Amino acid sequence: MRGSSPAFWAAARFQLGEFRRDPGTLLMLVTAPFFAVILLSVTEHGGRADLAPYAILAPAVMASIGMAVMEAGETIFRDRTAGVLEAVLTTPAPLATVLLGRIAAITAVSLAGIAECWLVGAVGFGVVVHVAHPLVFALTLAATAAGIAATGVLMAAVFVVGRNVRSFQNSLTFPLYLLGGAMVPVALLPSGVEALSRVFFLSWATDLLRDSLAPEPVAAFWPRLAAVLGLAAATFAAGSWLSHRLVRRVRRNGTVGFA
Amino acid sequence: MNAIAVLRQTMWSGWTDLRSVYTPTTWAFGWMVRVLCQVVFYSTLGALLGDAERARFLLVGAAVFIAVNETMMASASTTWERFSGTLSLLAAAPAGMVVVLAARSWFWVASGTLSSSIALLALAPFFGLRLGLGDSLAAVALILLTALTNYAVGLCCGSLSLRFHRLRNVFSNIALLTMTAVCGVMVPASFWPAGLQWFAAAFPASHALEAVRLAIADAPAAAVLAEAALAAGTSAVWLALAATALGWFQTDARRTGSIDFGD
Repeated sequence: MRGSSPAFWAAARFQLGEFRRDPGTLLMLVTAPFFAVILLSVTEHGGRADLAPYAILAPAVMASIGMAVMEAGETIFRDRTAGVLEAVLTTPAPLATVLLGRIAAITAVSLAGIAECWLVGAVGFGVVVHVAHPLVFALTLAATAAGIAATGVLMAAVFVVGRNVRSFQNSLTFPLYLLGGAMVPVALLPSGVEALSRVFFLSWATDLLRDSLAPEPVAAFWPRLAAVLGLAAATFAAGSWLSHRLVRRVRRNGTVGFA
Repeated sequence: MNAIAVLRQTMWSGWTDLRSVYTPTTWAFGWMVRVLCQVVFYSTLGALLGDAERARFLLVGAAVFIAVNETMMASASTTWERFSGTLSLLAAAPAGMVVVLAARSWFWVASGTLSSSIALLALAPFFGLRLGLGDSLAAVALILLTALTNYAVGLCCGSLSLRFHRLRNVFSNIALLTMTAVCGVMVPASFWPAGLQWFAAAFPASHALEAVRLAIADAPAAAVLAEAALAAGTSAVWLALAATALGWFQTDARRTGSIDFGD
């Protein structure tokens, strides 16, 4: 793992440079304030000021997971188009490490969405959301970021073999927002959908993030945080395993550039 | 080559583009799953608010706006000629590029109408919205009108994207989300200050969506037709703007020799 560390940081630095070269990659951060306006208008029009924290948190979470998934696909697509993917696969660094470095950088940048949405609430609607439990919020946010990066690695691994990367990556966002309870807690979804969403770390994370903003004590914090971290770790393990398997497959088939 | 022949070739080219974007499998299990999840995502806000009527309002707005969402993709597809390397050939051709660029993305109108109609009709029963056969047919016809009229707005974004093609998705998303916010999709347009209501009225989608809402609420036909006419009227202005912008792009690109270079 020690040998992987330089690859992780090099990949993260490269990704930060990518944001400067292609500002279109920051699309989700451009759209997050618009989503905040849309969702806040619904809660304000419905006379539910108590739901304003939901409407501010949701677009930030959507921006973060959306950016990780979209850029995971774009990373593979661009590397393949530029002929870089073959070169990456010839290096000793595992592909999962390189992907994790890039997607971790994407996730770190995407957290700026929280500040954007908070400002939309404060300036646009006069809604100032306070974090009632800062430690709970900070720890949950860190765990959420880890889970989002892990989800990006898993998606990128799948995209290594996919022909129709773009059509699927564009299709993934809203299913993930819904199953992750980004705005509406999954407890309000039909029971079958709720059960499915409970194996997705984000549904636990969004519940916990919302609870950290409310003044009431946060119930069962540590077990719920453990659920977020456990599911995030499982997602990363699945991403690493899949990337190892699929890389072996495209190497054997000689289809790295054409899959 | 006459204009009809140019249009026929352009539409065929658009159809092959659509087949390269989606296979039947990726459309059904990729795009349509996303569409249904997107509409459910917004509609369940009604459950969060504890208001079934609000859920139905959100359902209609979110489902009809799928047609707007897809026709805004004309912003990106207008630039595909650049990626194909055919933009300079179009500029050199006697037919010119304006008609071709304006018509090449027609498939979003068809695809948007289909996915929006499926979303509305399939999800309506789950949110307690009862649509009879007449209501359903009227809704589908007006969704087609929504897609057709908003296509002109997508083309305007497309003309900007030809210049700044790295931002092609940024333009269309900003326009789409602005419309989603102010055009009566999630909350009635009257929620916003008067200035924003006027701004919203400049978009065909505001009127087309209102026409759908009126039609399924069994409002008088005259009221529905009035909104449909406003959608068509505002769309004509956007279409004129798009044609002017595309013409300006062609002239300027020829003059400066920059047709294959953007950003």
